[in-house]
Amino acid sequence: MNEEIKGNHSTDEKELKRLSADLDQNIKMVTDQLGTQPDIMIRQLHLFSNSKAALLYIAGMTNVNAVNLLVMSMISEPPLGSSEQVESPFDSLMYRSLAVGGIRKLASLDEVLLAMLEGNSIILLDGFCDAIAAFTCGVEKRSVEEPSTQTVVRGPKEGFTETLHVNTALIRNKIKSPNLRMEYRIIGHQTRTTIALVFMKGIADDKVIEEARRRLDLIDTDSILESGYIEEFIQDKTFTPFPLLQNSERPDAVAAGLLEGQFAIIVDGTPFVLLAPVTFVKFFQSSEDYYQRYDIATFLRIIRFFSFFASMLLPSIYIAITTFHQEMLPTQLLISIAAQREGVPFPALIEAMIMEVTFEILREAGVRMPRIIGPAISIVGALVLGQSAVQAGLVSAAMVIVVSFTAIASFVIPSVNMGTAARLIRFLLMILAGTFGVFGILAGLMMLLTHLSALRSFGVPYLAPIAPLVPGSLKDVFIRVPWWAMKKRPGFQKKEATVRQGTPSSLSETDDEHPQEGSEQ
Amino acid sequence: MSITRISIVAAVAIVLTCLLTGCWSRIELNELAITSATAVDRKGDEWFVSFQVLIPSSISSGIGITGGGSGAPVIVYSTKGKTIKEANSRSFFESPRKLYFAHNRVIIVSEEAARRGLNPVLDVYLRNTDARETVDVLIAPGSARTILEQMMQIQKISGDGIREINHLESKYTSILPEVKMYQLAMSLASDSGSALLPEVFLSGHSDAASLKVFDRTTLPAKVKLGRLAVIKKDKMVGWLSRKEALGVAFLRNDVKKTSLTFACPNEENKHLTLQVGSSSTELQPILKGDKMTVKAHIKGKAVLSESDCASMDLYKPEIVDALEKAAVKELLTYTEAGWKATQRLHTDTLGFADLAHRKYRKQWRTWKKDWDRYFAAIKVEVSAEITLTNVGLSNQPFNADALREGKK
Repeated sequence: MNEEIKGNHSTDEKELKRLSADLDQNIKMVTDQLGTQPDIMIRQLHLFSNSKAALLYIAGMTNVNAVNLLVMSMISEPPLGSSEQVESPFDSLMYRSLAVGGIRKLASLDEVLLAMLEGNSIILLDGFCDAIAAFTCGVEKRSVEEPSTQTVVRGPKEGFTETLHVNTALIRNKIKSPNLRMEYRIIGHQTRTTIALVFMKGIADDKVIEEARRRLDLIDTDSILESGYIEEFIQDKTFTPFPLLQNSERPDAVAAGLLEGQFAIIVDGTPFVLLAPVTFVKFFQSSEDYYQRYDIATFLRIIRFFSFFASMLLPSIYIAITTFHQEMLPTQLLISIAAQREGVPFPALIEAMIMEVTFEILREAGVRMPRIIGPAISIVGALVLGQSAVQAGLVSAAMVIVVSFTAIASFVIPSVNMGTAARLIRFLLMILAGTFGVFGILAGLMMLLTHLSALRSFGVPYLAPIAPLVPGSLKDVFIRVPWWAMKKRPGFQKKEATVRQGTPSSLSETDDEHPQEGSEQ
Repeated sequence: MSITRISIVAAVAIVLTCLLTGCWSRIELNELAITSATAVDRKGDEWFVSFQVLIPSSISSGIGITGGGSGAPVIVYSTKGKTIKEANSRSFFESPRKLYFAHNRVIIVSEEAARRGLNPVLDVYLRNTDARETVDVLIAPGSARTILEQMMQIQKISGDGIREINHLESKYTSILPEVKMYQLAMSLASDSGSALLPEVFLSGHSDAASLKVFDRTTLPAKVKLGRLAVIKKDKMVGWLSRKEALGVAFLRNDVKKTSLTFACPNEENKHLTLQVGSSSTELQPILKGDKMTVKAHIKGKAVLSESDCASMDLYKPEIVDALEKAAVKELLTYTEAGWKATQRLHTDTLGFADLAHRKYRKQWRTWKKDWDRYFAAIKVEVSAEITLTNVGLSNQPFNADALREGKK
């Protein structure tokens, strides 16, 4: 951990409890604070210089091998010739013999406790008022696996894990640039969750980064357990169904965002990394768009926009047309729908509501239920609620088709939280359609458009580059032009870093001799 | 605006919106009587309006459709009144559903009603939003309601079927035009003040008003298109035969595609058929003294589609020339018949009044007061030019004997 850790709630002002020179008293102070719990390990030992020492760590938080090595290096003889030098046992340990990578010198009890709780091993020496924290963190962790939410056919199969350092390494592995900066913070009085603010220096807009730092520093809470906490604390506007921060499980997607000038927030303990600032169209871009041929990517992107509007509008359009504007249907279709509706006892609005709510319940059940009873839900959902409801004359077959298509369309959107937005708006539009017809739908859409154009994500207009129109950035909105044509970044970056092709040295401020990597994406 | 205020406003808006449900023009599909055809008859001073109403569950069958596929697909009922709308509103006395006209495909007016005037029909269609002006208008001799009662082969909904027949006929033979309500209104409102409407009639000895007719492969009675009705100043004045109708269609530049059948140039009692596509007519009025002559030039392209003639080598240009000349001669008989019929009915169905108005605006002021008399004095000179573009895949007419001998 080379970067500086900044606690956002500085303890500088508080009266720091210093360690004493007495080993036993120090150990007692620690055990008083933590309680005598079985997983708190205190190993007392004698160094070669016969001075007493103690090794404190929490079992399970530390790597067993690292601790063993540490003990070994403490009790073993000092290297030859060392005895000639006049050196205190503390300095000898600190600068010479400990076989461990990260070493810190701690002076206060609080620091000792925090270091222990993070998984460090603490070495206390009798007669010294300082402690040494050795980096032996090693919690059992999930290995890097394929992301479960944002799967692709072509592209890297690795996904973020719950461990912050694995996640930062995955990003560093993608972007081997000195300009990749990570700033650490600890948020949460109780959880003391480490959070990394990641950005590309020289590409990300300094003002946006400054704003991000400010908002993160303002968070005053006792716990951060997932990036969703952070998202709600720092988003620009709370009362909106639309997500104002993107999240991703994919290192390649995050790397691409960073290279476009977005910043990322990695939260220890969750594989979901936040990306901001973000625009509406970002939620329709899948990382796969950039790995596939541009024409296919363009087609798929149009399909996604269509699906978004279908999942938002289809039930309401169906309601509006069948109850207000029957003349809009072709005659044959009208007859067919009318025939299906003959025996249905409910108005189209109620019918649609029943089906939509049923589907939402099914979907929620599908997510929550234990995997083992999955098939049962499928059978009940597909047979009982679909076919049987139609046969029983409760709902019309056309409505089942509309609801099913709507449901499937809502899964096409690569970003789950944007899909959820469409789901919520769908219900509102259905009521409007049932009361005012197409007029109601259009009124609702106008309000939605006004709302969307008023949204900002870290100062970036949500509908950019459509409103305000930035013609140059439209290359990656409804269509995806070939890579060689995307010479400029799409608009999150600072002004000086607009061009991303043809100027190899523009990113590097230090003008180092770093070998140019191939295309990063 | 504070958060609480926004949420209060939103809640109130949603509640008020819900209260509006059921008001306004909401109508469920199963409250509609979808009308596929309307018939207008006149008896005494009253209008008899008949509606062909669809029974959706008899037309579509599938999962969840009760009583699918059995029973008559439509039901016909009539109401009477002093106006058409009064008759319509009386339907509420007998129909469980509200009549819905947006999907009305045809309106069939009886000959008697047409002879007494079409103005009320046009008024109803142009004044109201629920009736569409794109409905096809047809004339039926005798009772128009009978037409609505007939079952039709292939098409379950005969109203839709009549429209399809009319549409395809006008597209592929162009003898009878497909006239929509707005076109009728436009041509009646033009200077010539006349319009043409196709006739729909019932052919056969009995009628086909029951599903039982489908037990047999032939229908005892069929709905067919017949002659062409001529309307003058909203009243029907007479009929044109099919030959006259095609002549008029050529002169009006209404021909999209048609066929001409005539005797072979080298053999009188055998025939050949030309398929005429993309014909165009140019009318040019010329004023000589007080009299107007209209020069009509018809240009058409034709394909030989059948020939029963004796041996003729179609690779020879003179043969093709002869064919083209024969076709022109045949075409001129049609146009002449059409023109004579127009003169006989004293009706300017060809739109000469509009031509005259456009070209001779000064004279038009005097002509329009007594256009019928001037129209009777107009002379028409028709010339035609038919190009044979294609003779088909074979050259000589097929003759089994000749082919066998050629082998020997």
